[in-house]
Amino acid sequence: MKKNITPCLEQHLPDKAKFGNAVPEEAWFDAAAAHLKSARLVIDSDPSGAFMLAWSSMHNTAKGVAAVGGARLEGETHGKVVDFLCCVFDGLTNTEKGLVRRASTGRNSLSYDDPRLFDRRVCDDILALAAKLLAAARSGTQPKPARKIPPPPSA
Amino acid sequence: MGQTATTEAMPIWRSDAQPALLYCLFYDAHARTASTIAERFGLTRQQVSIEARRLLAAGIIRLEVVGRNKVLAVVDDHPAISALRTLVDLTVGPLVDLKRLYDVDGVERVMVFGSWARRHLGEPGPTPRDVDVLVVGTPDDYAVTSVCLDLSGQYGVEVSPMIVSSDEFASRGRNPILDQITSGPLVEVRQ
Repeated sequence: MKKNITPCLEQHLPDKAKFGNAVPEEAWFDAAAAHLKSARLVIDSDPSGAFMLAWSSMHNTAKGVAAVGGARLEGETHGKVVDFLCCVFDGLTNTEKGLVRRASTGRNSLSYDDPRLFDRRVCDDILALAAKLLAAARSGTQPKPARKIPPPPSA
Repeated sequence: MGQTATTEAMPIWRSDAQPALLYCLFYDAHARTASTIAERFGLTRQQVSIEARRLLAAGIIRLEVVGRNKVLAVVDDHPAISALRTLVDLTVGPLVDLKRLYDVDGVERVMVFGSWARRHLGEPGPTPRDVDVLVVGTPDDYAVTSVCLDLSGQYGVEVSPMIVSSDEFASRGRNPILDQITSGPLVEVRQ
């Protein structure tokens, strides 16, 4: 995680970050951990719910990071939160940035609201990334490098 | 000022910075200053600024003041804009990068639809907030998603794949969603 959060707040959430923080960052991080735990509990029975919970976890992590920078977020859009997270965790790979954005939009399937085409592996990746962002935010470090996604299987 | 594989594929640009600058002004709501465009494409600010000055002088782009920042924007009614957009799209961006999907086993056709396709074909409107991709074939979903996630991270907007089999695509009239998608603008990504 970047040491100085303020430039990312000013760049991506200029009207949404209110300086003067009432909620300590640990409270946000605890909330993020709780959402993540719930996501893991329901992923087998309700993967789409787990997907949304994983985004809630990332969103709370972002709020915690903003609190580290002395700000609280108000009225922020999901897209801006994604930009903010990608700015703060600038060591993320493009694929990881894509996963954060996908989590924010809630599209967990490969068709429009068609649950038949849901891919569990993407959901697993998003949960793993949410955990990684939370750990990095808590320790004030950059997330550990991503595992390399294997090439598609040959026919 | 470098000529790389990017501009060698379409060797009509003065530099890499020229299509990069125009691409951002056409499609990227986040990259509108010389610094952000340079960062987005791994160029120097000076390279982008030089090209920006030339395009400003030609009346192809303009400078707008937004808050404390001066941001660049295309002059939509300039007679060269439509042709430039086509050339930019053949040099950088989804129509070039999505060719990677053909490396995934089982992918037969790749097309872009939705707002990005409409802007590409010259329909005026806001900057696309995502890139919708129709993939025809029977690829591994995860392999397709991995490519699209990578491009999402690169572009800063979601690249959303929708996978349909060739049979489904052939009988698209029977699927209301597919019918609606394919009756709108559809841009083929060529191999």
